[in-house]
Amino acid sequence: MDIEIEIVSTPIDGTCKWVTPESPVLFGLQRKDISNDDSSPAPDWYIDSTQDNGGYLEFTLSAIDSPFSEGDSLMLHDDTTGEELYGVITEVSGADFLTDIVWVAGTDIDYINNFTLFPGYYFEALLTINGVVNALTARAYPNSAGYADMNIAGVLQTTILPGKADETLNINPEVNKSGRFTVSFRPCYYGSDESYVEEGGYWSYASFVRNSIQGGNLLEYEGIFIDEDPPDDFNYVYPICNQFEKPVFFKGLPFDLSFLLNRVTNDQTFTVTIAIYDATNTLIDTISYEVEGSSTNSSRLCSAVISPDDIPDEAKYFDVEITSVVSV
Amino acid sequence: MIRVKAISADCGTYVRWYYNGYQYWNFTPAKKTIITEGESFAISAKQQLTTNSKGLNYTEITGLKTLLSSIDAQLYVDGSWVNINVLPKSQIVFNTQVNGYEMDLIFECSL
Repeated sequence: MDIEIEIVSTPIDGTCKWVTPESPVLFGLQRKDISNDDSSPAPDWYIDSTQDNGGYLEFTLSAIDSPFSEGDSLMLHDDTTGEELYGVITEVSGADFLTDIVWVAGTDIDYINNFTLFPGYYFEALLTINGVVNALTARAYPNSAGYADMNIAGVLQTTILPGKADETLNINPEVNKSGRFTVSFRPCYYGSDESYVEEGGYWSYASFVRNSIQGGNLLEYEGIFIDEDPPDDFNYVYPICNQFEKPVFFKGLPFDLSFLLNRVTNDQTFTVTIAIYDATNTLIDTISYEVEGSSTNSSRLCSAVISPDDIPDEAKYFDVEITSVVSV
Repeated sequence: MIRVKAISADCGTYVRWYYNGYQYWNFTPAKKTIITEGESFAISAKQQLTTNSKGLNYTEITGLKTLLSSIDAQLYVDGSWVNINVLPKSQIVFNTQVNGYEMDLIFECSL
């Protein structure tokens, strides 16, 4: 039988799907062996009704020949009260299953988990990171209600490596510090061989240290939509990831600024604009360079190189802005 | 947009490290010490660089402190980068009250 896993929550914040493996990356999973959801594609069995039978709770499935049998130990979730009801199947008659749970008027079971049929149950997550299926999987064991927080941060952390990216380009993707991934889940129990089901959609990750209040989502570093100019274009400006309120450029020495680049298309162009000022606060030069989006710098933490040759001796400070335009 | 201060750097100990993006700082010229370990065989030697940075404001010292938590730090030597360790407990951060914050620390790298 197909065992349903419902993804109750994800680490998304707004529309931002950037996460950091330095904080928990949690997907809330709910085990539902059989539920009352009969929406398409219809499962082999779903809960058709819940009723009183001689003072005990009885449920009826949509079809006969389910793997549930007499003596099975169950957890039944009451949608009316939100309570978990524990009991044993005492009698099977066609698609009707009588339990030893005392009937309470108004009870409406929305899902059932069978502890006897699926012993040693846990969730398993498989990640495809930068297009490669990771050999490591993450596990999470559900609580009595069938819920578990699946933390995949540990698997993502295995891809964080020391060392900086190639520094030959104007914008260099930091492949050792960031990337993108998809995740799929499956239920596991003794003797199981279930298939993974895709969570759906791409996620991006970058190595960032965050505290518990900030959380693991990197919304504040994601590119910000600013305006439409011309109206058919989408313009974004990218926050700089720097720990200094005013970073210091030491003249003549290599320097770059990091930023998170969203998933981009090949026709997306990035512009790094550097406005240079002297000690009298006079604009002495403006430099800009453009970089085309590609699959190599897409969904990566990137470093925008500020060449020492571009900053003259009389410069006192300079302003850096990184923007992109997507034509639609 | 971010504003970047540009200052001269004729000499010094230029370091970069990863902590929520790459950070750069030029410390004062380092005092170099060679540490040799071992006796009659399997002798290994490492270079230790004792350096500091003075006259820092609060935001600068806050940014610099992230170096102490980084596991990916490099030193700029003759046009290329070499990996360094920031020696544990070598970092001293203090506030002089008059001239701002100061940070002393020791880097270790292979010869």
